[in-house]
Amino acid sequence: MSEDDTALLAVKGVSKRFGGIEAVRDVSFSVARGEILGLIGPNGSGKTTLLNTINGVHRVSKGEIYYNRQPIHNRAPSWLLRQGVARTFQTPRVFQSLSVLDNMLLPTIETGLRDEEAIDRILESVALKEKKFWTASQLSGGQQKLLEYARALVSRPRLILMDEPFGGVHPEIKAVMQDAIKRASREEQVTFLIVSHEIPDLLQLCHRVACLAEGQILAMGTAREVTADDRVVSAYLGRRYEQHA
Amino acid sequence: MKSRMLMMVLVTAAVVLVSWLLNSGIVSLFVPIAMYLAMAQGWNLLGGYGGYLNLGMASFFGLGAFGAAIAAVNWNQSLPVALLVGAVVAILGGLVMGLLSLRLRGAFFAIFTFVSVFVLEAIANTVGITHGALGITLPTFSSLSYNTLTKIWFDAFIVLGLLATVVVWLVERSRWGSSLVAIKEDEPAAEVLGIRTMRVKLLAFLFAALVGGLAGGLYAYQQQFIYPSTIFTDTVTLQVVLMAVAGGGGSWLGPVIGTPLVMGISALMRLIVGSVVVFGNGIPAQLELIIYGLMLVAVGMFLPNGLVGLVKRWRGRSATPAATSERLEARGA
Ligand SMILES: Nc1ncnc2c1ncn2[C@@H]1O[C@H](COP(=O)(O)OP(=O)(O)OP(=O)(O)O)[C@@H](O)[C@H]1O
Ligand SMILES: [Mg+2]
Repeated sequence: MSEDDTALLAVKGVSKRFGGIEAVRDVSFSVARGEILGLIGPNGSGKTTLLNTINGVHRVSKGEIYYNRQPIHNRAPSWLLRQGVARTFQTPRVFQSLSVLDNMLLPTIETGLRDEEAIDRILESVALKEKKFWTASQLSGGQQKLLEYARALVSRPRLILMDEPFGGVHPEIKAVMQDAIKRASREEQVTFLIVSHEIPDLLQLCHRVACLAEGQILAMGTAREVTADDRVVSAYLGRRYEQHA
Repeated sequence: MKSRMLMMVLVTAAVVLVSWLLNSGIVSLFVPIAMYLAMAQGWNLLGGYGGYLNLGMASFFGLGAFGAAIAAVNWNQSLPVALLVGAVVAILGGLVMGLLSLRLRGAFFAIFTFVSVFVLEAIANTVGITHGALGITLPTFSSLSYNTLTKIWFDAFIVLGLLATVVVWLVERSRWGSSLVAIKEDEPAAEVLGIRTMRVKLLAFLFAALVGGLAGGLYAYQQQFIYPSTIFTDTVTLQVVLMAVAGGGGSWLGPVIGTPLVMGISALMRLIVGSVVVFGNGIPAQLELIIYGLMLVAVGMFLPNGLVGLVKRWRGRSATPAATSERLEARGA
């Protein structure tokens, strides 16, 4: 069996241009079911744009994307959510005038997965259960980030695209999130694509890491391999990371 | 929920009952209020909750009025059938307009819907089926006295208005209402969360078309005589929007407060301004439009969330310290 047959997500030769800028250039990779793939790269290297093309926020300029062996490029984001692709944003985009609970219920409108106990459990895990009836605008910036993460889990997605999920999050809660991600990957075969600048987090969390620079994949492999790659070091890291534990 | 419904039925029954006890002169003052309550609630779902500034209520109103009038006069249909035809025409118009315009954000949608009124007026003025600029005279109910008819029309409009209010109230409490609010705040994010934004917006737009079309049909019968230029007019649109936003768009209570308020103020203004004859009669008539325009600007500047928003803000201000201390406690401070 080739790699593509077992892959949950396969990106094939995808490019995305905005006028004169080619933000993503001929990117190809695949992610296996249950894999946690980290995505690193300098500011402006095209990480967010890549996530946006995968979940249909942007149309691709060139190339194809397959999810579960189905072509998904240029499908509407709402359709992708129903197929099991969820997504969080770099700056949280929770709905300010809705309550925490109403924010959590939004993805259940179309999927029909309205399960208040499950929602309570998810909120509990990010310490937001007591704030269930608060309006989102009353939450702090970090709490809004956690709410967005929690909301992405409600639809029981099979693939979660996360853009900087750990920035500004308390270390204890970050550990909880990372445990939850690992457990979901191991026990339920949920697949993650995580954009982050927090290299130490990715080292202990991800099965593989890809480094993007100027819209192209510079290196891809285990976190250890990628962070030791000379091109990655010079283009992004600036120094070598020691592997703890 | 059931008890609220029962309450709404009782309120409606009470209002209808009272209308039969009052002098028809007084009731006639409330006929436009009841009609505009319905239209403002119809507008409210997409315009208030969804944040899409629909400036085409007059189009729905006119399609309903002409649809009903044509069915009644050209095709000899009875009142209920004619009203139904008017509503269907308005919904079909809404479907076409919505599919064409709801992908356009912000100003483009507002302009599209605004222009639709003039386009429809021009069409109604030229095609034969509407009798062009001559207008249509509807069948009369000669067996009923003016007083009785006034009360019947008021009752019809108020039932429509309260029904629309109930629908808006129910939507406000549903996930459907949340999805409209989500569209208003951040439509791409709503789409990413699985909301089929186009469908939600279209349904809300069609609700406006349905209510506007029914109001238009009733209005045609009530007036007995309609022409394109008095029906497809931006005065109707402007009043609807003003009533909804002055009370508070995006709240079921907004139009309930805003409609009588704006009607009251504009009646008062007309009393004052209308008695001042400047160059003949023309100018005071135009002044009405100017007054609505100025009121809309004033609401936009001083009451962005309407009276309902103002009350919420007052309540919120007194509630904030408690919420803050609760938050501190939760953090163990
Ligand atoms: N909607 C857009 N229109 C035009 N250009 C865009 C758009 N979105 C991104 N770009 C451009 O594409 C390039 C990649 O941006 P992107 O947001 O994907 O970077 P990133 O890797 O996520 O950076 P960061 O780490 O800062 O979040 C940038 O040059 C950016 O200016
Ligand atoms: Mg980014």
